[in-house]
Amino acid sequence: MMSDQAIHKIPIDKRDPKKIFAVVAIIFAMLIFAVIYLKISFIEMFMGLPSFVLFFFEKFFPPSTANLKQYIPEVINTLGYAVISTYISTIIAFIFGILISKNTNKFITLRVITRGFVNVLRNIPFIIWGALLVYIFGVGGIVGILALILVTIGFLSKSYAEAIDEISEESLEALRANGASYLQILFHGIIPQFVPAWIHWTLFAFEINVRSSVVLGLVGAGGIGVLIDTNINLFKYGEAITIVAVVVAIVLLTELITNLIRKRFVN
Amino acid sequence: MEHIRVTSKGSISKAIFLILILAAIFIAAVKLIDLDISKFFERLKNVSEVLKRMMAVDFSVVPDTLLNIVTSLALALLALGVAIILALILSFLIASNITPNRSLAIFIKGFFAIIRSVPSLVWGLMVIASLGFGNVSGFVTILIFAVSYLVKTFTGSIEETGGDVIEAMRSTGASWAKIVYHGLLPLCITAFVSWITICFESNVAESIGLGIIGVGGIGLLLTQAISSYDYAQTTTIVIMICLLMIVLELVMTRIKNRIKFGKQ
Repeated sequence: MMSDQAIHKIPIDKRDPKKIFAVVAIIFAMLIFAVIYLKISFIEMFMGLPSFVLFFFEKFFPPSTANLKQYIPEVINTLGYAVISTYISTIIAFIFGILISKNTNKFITLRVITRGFVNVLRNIPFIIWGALLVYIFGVGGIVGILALILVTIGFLSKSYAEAIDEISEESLEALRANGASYLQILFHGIIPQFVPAWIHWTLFAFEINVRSSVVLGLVGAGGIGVLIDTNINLFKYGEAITIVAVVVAIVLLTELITNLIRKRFVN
Repeated sequence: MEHIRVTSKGSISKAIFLILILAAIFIAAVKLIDLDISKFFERLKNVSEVLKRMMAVDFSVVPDTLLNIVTSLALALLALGVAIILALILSFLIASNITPNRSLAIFIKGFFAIIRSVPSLVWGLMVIASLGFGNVSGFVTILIFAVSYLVKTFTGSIEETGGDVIEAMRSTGASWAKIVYHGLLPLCITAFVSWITICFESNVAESIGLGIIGVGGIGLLLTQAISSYDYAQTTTIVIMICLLMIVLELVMTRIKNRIKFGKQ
């Protein structure tokens, strides 16, 4: 009879409720530990964002547009740093990308060494590079560009290498079977298929560089960040917010331009 | 022997034209900004001296560094936790395929685009100016960064993959909440976890970078070492930051793979 048999429930999903509970509990414990370790009270934490927003609208408005024209040289500097560093990084990162990808570099040791080097460049946060280079080389625009270049090489090399890895083995093998030399395979096989990814990542790196070069000023390497910092330290909040608005305009404009370029060339 | 044309006609001239334009932009950039190239080459002479002095390692600073690493990690984690909650709520409200209110969604999306255009160090400056130095400022700054990142990526995932599920559930008359909880959440959870791990790594990088403007943690320790010209300490801290980021990347990749492919 049906009532004598235990009714088997077919589990709908494989999720083990006990394991999920354990994981959630651990995460919760870590969060509470973090709050205690940082010596923040819960109230401070929850009121943090709202109080900031209140202060923000109270102190930073109304924006003062008095010195708008004086910011233009710094804007050009900022964009210039981004352009120069992106250009130089692209070329070097392309070489590293070729060295890291399995498709183009058959020597494992060389691949591993390059990848390790590039990882060091990537893992150190950009501002720390900036501070270090200013420490070694002193203040100045070139130092800032150097920092941008190092970080961008780290980022782009990996992205380029992944894109090169995705190029189909078959077309390269076909070229090889026809007797193409390494350089011929590179120029006629890899580069044409690589160009869309190259454009995508390079434009992305340019956007990131524009935002990074804004804050370069904070470690002494020039750019519009210096103006923001100075104005805040002088309590001229209205000016500061105007400069921030200029930064927002630059960044949004850069995004717009890069999207246009992408639509035109990647399709 | 006949020469077989390998590339399409006129492509070489097009390529040369493109290269000329790109070169022109580059030269314009170099001319327009003020680079002190001569000063830079002057200072190059000092570089070997500085690098020699940096070859020392100072182990006495390691315990302090470890404590500060915990601070940076704690800030990153806390901001991540709160950001996840906020981003989950927001992204399901503004994703174009299930938003209850179109114009509000567009407004909020634009709002976050503006927030993202401000570099987080600039946010840090403004937060510190409003709330003072201290861990709360660091928390709020990283929170702003994390929420805007997660909202963008979550919304992207929902809009990309949610279409069919939403249509199917809508045709059975499911409410917004049911579609979100039973349809979209299980669908997008693996993508969300990827974004969350990337966000945590970025949060740690941010919290280190914020040390430059005075937010506590290992970045601040490094800035102090640099200002006091303590070469050995600087090198040690930099090495530890490197190690931290590598370990972090390994751990995050393992967690990601565990969740994606199940315990193996």
